Amino acid sequence: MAIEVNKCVGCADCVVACQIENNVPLGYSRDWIMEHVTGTYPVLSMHFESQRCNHCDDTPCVRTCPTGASFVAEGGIVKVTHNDCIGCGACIEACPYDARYFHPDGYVDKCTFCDHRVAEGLDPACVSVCPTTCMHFGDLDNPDSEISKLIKSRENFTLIPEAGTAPQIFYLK
Amino acid sequence: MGKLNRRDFIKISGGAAAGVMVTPPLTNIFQSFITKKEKHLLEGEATKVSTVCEVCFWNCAGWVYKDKEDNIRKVIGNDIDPHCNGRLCPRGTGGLGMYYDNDRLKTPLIRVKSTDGKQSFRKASWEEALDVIEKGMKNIEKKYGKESMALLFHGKTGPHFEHLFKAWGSDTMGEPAGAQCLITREAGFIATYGSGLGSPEPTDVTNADCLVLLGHHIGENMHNGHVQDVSTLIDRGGTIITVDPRFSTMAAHSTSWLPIKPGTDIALLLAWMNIIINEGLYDKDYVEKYTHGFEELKQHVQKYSPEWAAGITTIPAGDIYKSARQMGGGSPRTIVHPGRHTAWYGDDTQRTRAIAILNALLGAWGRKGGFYFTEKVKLPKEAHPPFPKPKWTWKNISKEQHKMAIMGITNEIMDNGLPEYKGPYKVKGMFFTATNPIQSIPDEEKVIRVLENQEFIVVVDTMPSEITGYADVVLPEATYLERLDHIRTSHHKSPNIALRYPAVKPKWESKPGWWIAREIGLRLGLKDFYEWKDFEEVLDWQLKQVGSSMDEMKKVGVKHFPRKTPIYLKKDEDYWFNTNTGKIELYSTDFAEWGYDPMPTYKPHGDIPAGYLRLIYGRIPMHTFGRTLNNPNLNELKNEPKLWVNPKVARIYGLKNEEEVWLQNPKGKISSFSIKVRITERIRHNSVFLPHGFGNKGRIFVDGKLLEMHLTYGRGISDAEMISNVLIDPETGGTGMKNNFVKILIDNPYKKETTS
Repeated sequence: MAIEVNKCVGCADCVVACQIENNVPLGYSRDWIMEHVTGTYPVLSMHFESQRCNHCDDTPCVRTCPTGASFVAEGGIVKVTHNDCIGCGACIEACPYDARYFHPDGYVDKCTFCDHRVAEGLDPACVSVCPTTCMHFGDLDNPDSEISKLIKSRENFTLIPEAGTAPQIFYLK
Repeated sequence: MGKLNRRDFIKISGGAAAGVMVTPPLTNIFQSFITKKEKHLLEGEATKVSTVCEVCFWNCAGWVYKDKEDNIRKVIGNDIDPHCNGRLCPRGTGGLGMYYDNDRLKTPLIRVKSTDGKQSFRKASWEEALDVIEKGMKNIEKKYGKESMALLFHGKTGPHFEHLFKAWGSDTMGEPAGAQCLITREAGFIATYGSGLGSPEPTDVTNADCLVLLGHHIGENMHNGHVQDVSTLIDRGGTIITVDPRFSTMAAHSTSWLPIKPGTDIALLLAWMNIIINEGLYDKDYVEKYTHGFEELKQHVQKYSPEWAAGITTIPAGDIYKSARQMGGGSPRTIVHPGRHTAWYGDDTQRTRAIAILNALLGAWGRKGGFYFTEKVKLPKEAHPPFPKPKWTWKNISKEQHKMAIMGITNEIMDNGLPEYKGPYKVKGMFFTATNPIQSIPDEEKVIRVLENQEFIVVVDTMPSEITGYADVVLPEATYLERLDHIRTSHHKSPNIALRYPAVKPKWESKPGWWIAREIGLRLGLKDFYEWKDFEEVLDWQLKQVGSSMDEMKKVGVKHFPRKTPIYLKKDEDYWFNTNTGKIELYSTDFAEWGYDPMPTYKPHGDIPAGYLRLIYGRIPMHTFGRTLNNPNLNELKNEPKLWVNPKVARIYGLKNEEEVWLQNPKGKISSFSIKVRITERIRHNSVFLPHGFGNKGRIFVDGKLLEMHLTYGRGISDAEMISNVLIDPETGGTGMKNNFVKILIDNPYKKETTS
């Protein structure tokens, strides 16, 4: 996934779209908005980041899972098999992005990149509603995909790269 | 019934409520269809029904997705709708929460006096409630004339009740969307171009190279199509110049941000004209061919040098030069955006005139990358007898003193309902649909005095907002997802129509606006104005007149029609503007005749009183004023506002982030509730920022049980409550609300009262 922070207005459409698409109980969320302001009035800069599970290439959450409920699905999407999850919370501790939460039903839940939509050729709900079209989804393994080319063409950053998890959401400046 | 003291009622209910537990479990407000297991609605399993969003006035067209059990599961934008291009904003995406909200008005309510003397409501049948309305309206007619019953409305429900009132014989009506929002802007553009802007504003941002925003917060106001347009401008590397005392979202995305001193915009606009004229950056052919009064304007702006403006606006002269040259460099693909909520300082028609004039100098009107000419499908009106002619209308109230009052001025209609009003155009009864004057019309104390002085009040709404507490009868309206309304005929690049069709049956006992208006009409003997049983018949007939039908519209949702007129001016085209001179009037001949400034001048508005901070209010992207705050899905995104203060102010007051404070205005009014502080560099050191719409204090008792918007009641401070200094725009009567000031109170002012 790639997100253009120069266009994002922080409206949280991605947040509400995810909530509704995935029946995320109110009070919990799989994605959220962060506002970053630097400088002193009137010399300021600011950007918003729509954040969620980074679907890392190196996954401490999967490594720490004692039951195998957390796993990397084909295509690189990090998922949780709800029925196998015992709710021990080790993955929540291990995630540097705080992207997982305890679902009131007793399992750990997180962003799935809406793989049920992706399987039907649709974008994840968050990407599909974004009014600024600042979010892009595609195949990062294919260097010729639109998204790979987009990321290559732009200055970009990932969140907490020092955690060494090889996050797969790229923020484009 | 008119004798009841409504203010007491509010106080009593507020006090009594302290002892009532109001904590419905979270699950109650949650969508009933949701099991805790994740359950997706796949495209193939969904039934889709066309809708037009009513969460805000942008009215995007979309599809309601229902599952097999007839539950609304999501609302998605219609791909061919030019308002949204298939993408709804957060409010539209979360709009379904409005339908599921358990705090909705569920049955008709009638005011009663209970045995202990406290006033509250009882549930009533539609029959009973409509009978009370018939009696109440006829009583006003008998005592004062039909004209003394006023209608205040908003949104797509409005037209049903406008029709009712006109058929009955009252044209005493207005909507806060005028005097409290955009009337001044419309007036400024009409005086210049002979034509207003309407909604959506015809700014051709997708073809522009330069966009100038003055206090217009695209991205915080989610004017969907425009947010999308600006996004394309960013993609193309266009220039965006944002003028704002606050570091807005768009300021952060701009090429340059000019942090102006509040209230000095006209000085900046005049200085820009000065540079653009003196440096020859204006579109000479365009100005010569299409405008009137260029020489007068040139003379007029000589005294407004950038150096002079720098001293007024606190923007360095160099930045004023630079931005003017950027605008000139982009000409004619430069847009100085007219803004929308332009009721600021009481000289707002003049400020928006200055914006209109600047656009004319840049040759933007009728040009690609400027303002395009819109086209709209005209649907014929259903046949009915001519409306009776009222003895007086809203025009008598406002038109005489405000020549540019092009629609009912709500605040003046209200003024005529005050007990001290002794003139001939008395307002003695009020009918509110989908508008809450406590929050939408400034000077709350006055608004309440007006309401207390009314003999009969009807409220039609989906939610128990503050105004319901003042009503004699409350009628529960169906939400937009449950009702049929007029076809949306938007004026746009391509003329188009869109259908709002009920996706589900109205919940509880709520009814669509058309049904309510018709039932009242029949009781008032207006059978001839309702020669149909179901509003769908009217729409089907209308659609057939333009070569479509209900059947077609249900399938497509949005239908486009071919344009008949050019979208831009052709090169050297002779064009007649609808003004006295037939030209774009840089010098307004009408204003000269009526005694207004024919060209805008800068007048100071008075500075901040010692010890106070300027109150800046504005939008946040996930809410539309107060009406969406209790929507469970949107409340989830923002359930509590914060008071923005600059770190310098925080140091002086010794404030910490998240600290609870109260506000007091110079008239001594203390906010009803507290608010938490957010310390941020994004706000100027002498100002605070308050998101609009919060601080809800509407509570009613229905058969002894509390009814309130429980997710938002008491959260934050209402700016309307703090605004007491209302500056009236002489041309329109619009209410300037930005010259207001507050003091931060750190100690709980209510605690002191109870202990002493």
